[in-house]
Amino acid sequence: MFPFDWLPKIRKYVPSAGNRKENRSGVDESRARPIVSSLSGNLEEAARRFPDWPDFVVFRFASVSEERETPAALLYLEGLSDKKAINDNVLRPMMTGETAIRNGVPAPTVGGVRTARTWTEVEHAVMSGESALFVDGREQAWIYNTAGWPQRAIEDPQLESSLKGAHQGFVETGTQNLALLRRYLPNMELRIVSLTVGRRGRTSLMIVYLDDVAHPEVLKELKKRIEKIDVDAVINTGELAEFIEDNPYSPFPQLILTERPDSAVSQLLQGRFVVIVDRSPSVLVAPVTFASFFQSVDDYSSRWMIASFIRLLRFAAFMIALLLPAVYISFISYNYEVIPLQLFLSIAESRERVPFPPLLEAMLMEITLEMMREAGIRLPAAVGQTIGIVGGIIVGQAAVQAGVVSNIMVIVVASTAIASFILPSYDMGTAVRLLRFPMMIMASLFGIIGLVVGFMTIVAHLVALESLGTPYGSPLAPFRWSDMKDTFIRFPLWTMKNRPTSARPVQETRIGKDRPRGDGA
Amino acid sequence: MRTTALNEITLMQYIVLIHSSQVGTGIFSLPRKIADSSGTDGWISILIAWAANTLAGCVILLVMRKYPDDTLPDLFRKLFGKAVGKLLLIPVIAYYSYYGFSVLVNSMLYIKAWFLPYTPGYLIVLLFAVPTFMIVRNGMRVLGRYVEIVFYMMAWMPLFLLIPLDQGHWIHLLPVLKEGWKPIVRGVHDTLFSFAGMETLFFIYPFLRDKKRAFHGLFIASSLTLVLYLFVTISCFVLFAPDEIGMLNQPLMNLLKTIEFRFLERFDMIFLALYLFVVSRCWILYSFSAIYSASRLFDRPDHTKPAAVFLVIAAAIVFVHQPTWNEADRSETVLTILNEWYMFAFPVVLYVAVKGKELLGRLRSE
Amino acid sequence: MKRLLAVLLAIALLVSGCMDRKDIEDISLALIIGIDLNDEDKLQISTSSPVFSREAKIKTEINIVGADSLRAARDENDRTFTAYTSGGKTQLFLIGKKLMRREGWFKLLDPFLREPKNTSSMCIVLVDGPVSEVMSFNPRDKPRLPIYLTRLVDTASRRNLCIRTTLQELHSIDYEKGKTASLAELRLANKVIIKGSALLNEKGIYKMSIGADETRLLRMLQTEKAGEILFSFKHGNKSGDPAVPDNAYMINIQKYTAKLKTGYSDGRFTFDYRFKIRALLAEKLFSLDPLQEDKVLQAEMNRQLEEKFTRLIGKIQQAKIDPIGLGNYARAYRYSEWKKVQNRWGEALADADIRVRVDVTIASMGAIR
Repeated sequence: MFPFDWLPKIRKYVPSAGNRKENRSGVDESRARPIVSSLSGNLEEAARRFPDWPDFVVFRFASVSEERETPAALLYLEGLSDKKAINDNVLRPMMTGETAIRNGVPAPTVGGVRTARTWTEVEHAVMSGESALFVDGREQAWIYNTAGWPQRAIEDPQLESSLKGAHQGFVETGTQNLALLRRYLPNMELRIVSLTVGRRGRTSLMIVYLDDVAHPEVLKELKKRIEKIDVDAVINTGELAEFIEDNPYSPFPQLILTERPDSAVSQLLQGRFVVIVDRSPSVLVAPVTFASFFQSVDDYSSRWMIASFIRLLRFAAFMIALLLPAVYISFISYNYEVIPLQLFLSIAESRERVPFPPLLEAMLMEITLEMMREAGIRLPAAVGQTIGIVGGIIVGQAAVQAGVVSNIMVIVVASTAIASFILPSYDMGTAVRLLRFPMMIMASLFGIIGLVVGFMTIVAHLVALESLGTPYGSPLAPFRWSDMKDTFIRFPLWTMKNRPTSARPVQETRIGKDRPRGDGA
Repeated sequence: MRTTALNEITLMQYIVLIHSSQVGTGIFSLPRKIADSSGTDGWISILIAWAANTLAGCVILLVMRKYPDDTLPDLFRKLFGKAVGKLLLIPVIAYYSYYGFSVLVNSMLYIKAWFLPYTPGYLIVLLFAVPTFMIVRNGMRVLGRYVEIVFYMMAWMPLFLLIPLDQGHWIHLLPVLKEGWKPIVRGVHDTLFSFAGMETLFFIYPFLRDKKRAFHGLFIASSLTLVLYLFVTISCFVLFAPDEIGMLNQPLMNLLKTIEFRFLERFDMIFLALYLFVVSRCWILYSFSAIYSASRLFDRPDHTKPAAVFLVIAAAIVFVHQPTWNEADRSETVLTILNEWYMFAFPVVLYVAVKGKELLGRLRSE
Repeated sequence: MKRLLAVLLAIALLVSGCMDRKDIEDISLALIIGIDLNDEDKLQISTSSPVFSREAKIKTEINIVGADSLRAARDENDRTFTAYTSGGKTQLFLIGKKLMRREGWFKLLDPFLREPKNTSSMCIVLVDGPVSEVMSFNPRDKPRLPIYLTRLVDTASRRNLCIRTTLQELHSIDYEKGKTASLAELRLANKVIIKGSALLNEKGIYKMSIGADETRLLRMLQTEKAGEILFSFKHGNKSGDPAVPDNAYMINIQKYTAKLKTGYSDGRFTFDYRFKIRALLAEKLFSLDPLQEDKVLQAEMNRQLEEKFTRLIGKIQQAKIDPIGLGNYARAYRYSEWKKVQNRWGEALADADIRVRVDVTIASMGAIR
């Protein structure tokens, strides 16, 4: 018959075309049933749609007004609703008194009222925590925003703690996060674009930006990428980042994930876009450059000289974390001539007892360290400290005594580990940790030439990488002198009159004419 | 297919690109060549070679100025028509590939001599093929960025040559012009090739965003190379005996061997390893020119396939043929002759052709 | 599929690239190499190499072999040394005096200049006596022999007791027509003692030795400003108690300038030195007020120094060598005359007229009068 013998052909080109089970969102005729006017009919429908849901509440009441009793029912999900709001602002006023239902029109004392005419809308509303009011004799339902799900108090973000900055971190509710941002920028130019992602999860995203600073083309690109996403659910911001990244095969992160409102706001002021993902405490910042991962909020609260010193320290730490084990391996295996004589003698003596070739020794130590690090994440704080001491000091010492590793290797590995913790961005730190291993392998195969080739490859990769259309290597490649004020060293704030060009801001000078220097100069 | 607008480079990148096309592996043996032909007055022949090459670059720019957004393949097409233009591209591709290949092979020979004598040559070439491939296939924009960042990263290198200088005997340079001008003129021919690199202007200039500064950029780049070569040559003359330099194959390496620190002996090895970044700019630029022309030959906008083909062929040649130092020397003499024709004679021919076309056009419109 | 193939190929190729690896503990560094002629006038090459194993009782291994060349000796060494013998970190070459009297000994050091992996900044030292004795010298109050000798020569050269010449410098001087070589010289007599410097002729053959004082004079003639220079003088004609010399005094040169004028007249080269010396009084064993009598002291020092210089220059001219490097000046300022004699510069210098004028100023006398 007509459609069915076409199905096999269609299935060849569009495999899911004939498979109804996977194609359910929104186009299913049976669910978009309209609301009938009889209350009992609606309630039957409700019972059918939400069968034995333990948290589903149907509260039937009669609204008395002018001696007329109007039966009504309020539907809500217990865990997701703010019961106080429901009781005080919806039910109590409507059940008695002046705000009772007159002529079938309820008037509760709550904001955010919408009407719904189909059951799909009612479902969505109820499952988002809102409550639906059905009034007998009306063919619509009123939806009240009484959402109030469990959320955590605002605390210091764990991974990005700062010494002098605010100790507030984002929470898991999108609107709260938006409120935290608005506290920093109560500005009419702060625009928000709302999007929804995920078929089942229906996560709401908000792209926040400053209209007169951010570049419209980047916004277009960002929206395009997010709208292309078609998945079940996006649970964390990290997943979203992976979907919209320029190059998911790169070890380097191309978007910043931050839990700090002050950090997000300073990025907004530079012309970047912040994407708030509901139910996730991290927000996404795009587009970013390589140098952004070395900036932290504390840099701007501290004095500029010490901030510059620490910035330089971070870049040095990046190099050390990436290259030190590889340099060590290449020097002791291929280019021993470079080591000064005294050091050579002491290294040779300590390595003489070790049965493993340098690469194996290095890998052994590094992997042990990585395992200890991962174990430390899962252990509670008290036990974690002990493991740190036991693992680090005692095992390390014992390994050297037993002749399994040389003590120089322990120093190298420990310095590398400390260096990789200095980087303020967790993602960049993990990128470096990962890249260490290929560098070590190259060094153990080809010595210093392997190192050079490896570093050349990393530079070639960074130079070609882009984040939402802006070059990742900026401000180093392409080199921009004006952006150098905030890369390796932080110049004093009164010299930074322009926004960095890496985000291609439309408004290049920062607002404000006078950046005083304190001494009136 | 009009890629020049998307792949713009800044003035600084333009300068560094020209500079890197001139500085390759020749800098190590340059003092010896000069000492062999002109003695300690050879530094004057460097100045003359610089002037000649910059002039050639100016002629090329004069040609390209008429067709600002067209690279050499496009220029050929416009001047000589599609078929002949494509035919003319083939020797051009051969020239650039040969040049890039020989720089790559030279680096490979240095690496084999100083670092990895037992590792097979093709393996070294394959190793360096990886970053080369990554950069070349992304076009001129990425190449410009890479070249610029390597320039800044390696800008400190010449400063280290100041360290042994206080042990030098400046008296070696006196008296100036001891044997007259004849040896200097003889030396010019040998040093001419060290400044070669202007022919890449055919591929660099169209991508420059700020075309008004093209001549300034050319001059600055060439002068940078001049300063570098003069510095290296004079340092070598000052530190080594005049009759000794002829016996040293790579005087610059011997010079670097004398630099020692408390925490790092044998600084020359570190220096040579890092210098590979500088040399990589040269071969990547030449390979890019060849690959770009190849993709134009086949009318493809994508550089990936020609890049892969070029690098694989290079590795294969090294695998089969296993080049030696003497062969590298001989191929350099061949390249010198080719370069003289291509860089000095060919732009003049092109200029005549361009002017001719202009005249024809004007005559036709009258 | 293509990606998988590429990855497999990459792994296969990479794994094959391990051939140049030489782990640090597998290397026997030839830290000192000694070359000498034994009693039968045959080449004898000794190598001293550190031992890294904790189980070994002695920390150095030494091998003395007869061989035709350094490279051949390395093969011999590899027959007994624990690991690969390698010349990448050689600190010293000890050359016996017997060998240095033979022409062409310098060619033996060719592999260290030719192979890129070998260093060429090691010091070359002449040994007055048999080299093998020095190599086997193992004093208990000093660090390992290579480290001890290197440091000894370094510090001695900084005090200008000897002239430290590296292999690269020797190679340079070998080709220089206008300069002959000078090396450090040592001797073993219960202890290792630095004798001074040894001067070679233009063929590289040993000609004469000079002591510490003369080395300092030679350095000044070479206008080398590095290191300490001290001179001792005798005051007046006093000669009191011979046990305690009461007419000796010493100065330490803080700074000096040297001006050299090169000329040519009457068929010979003329070199005029003018030294201006700023001195610090280091020792004075008699009573004379330096503040009042400084002119007396200065005039005396000028005279005595000029005598010392003249004596040394006389020795050098007699030996027909040019360790000062005056040939370079001749070439720089009198090129046409130089060209005529460039191949027999030693003789030309013997005829030359070298004059020295010294002008000492006592800058400070120290804490006491």
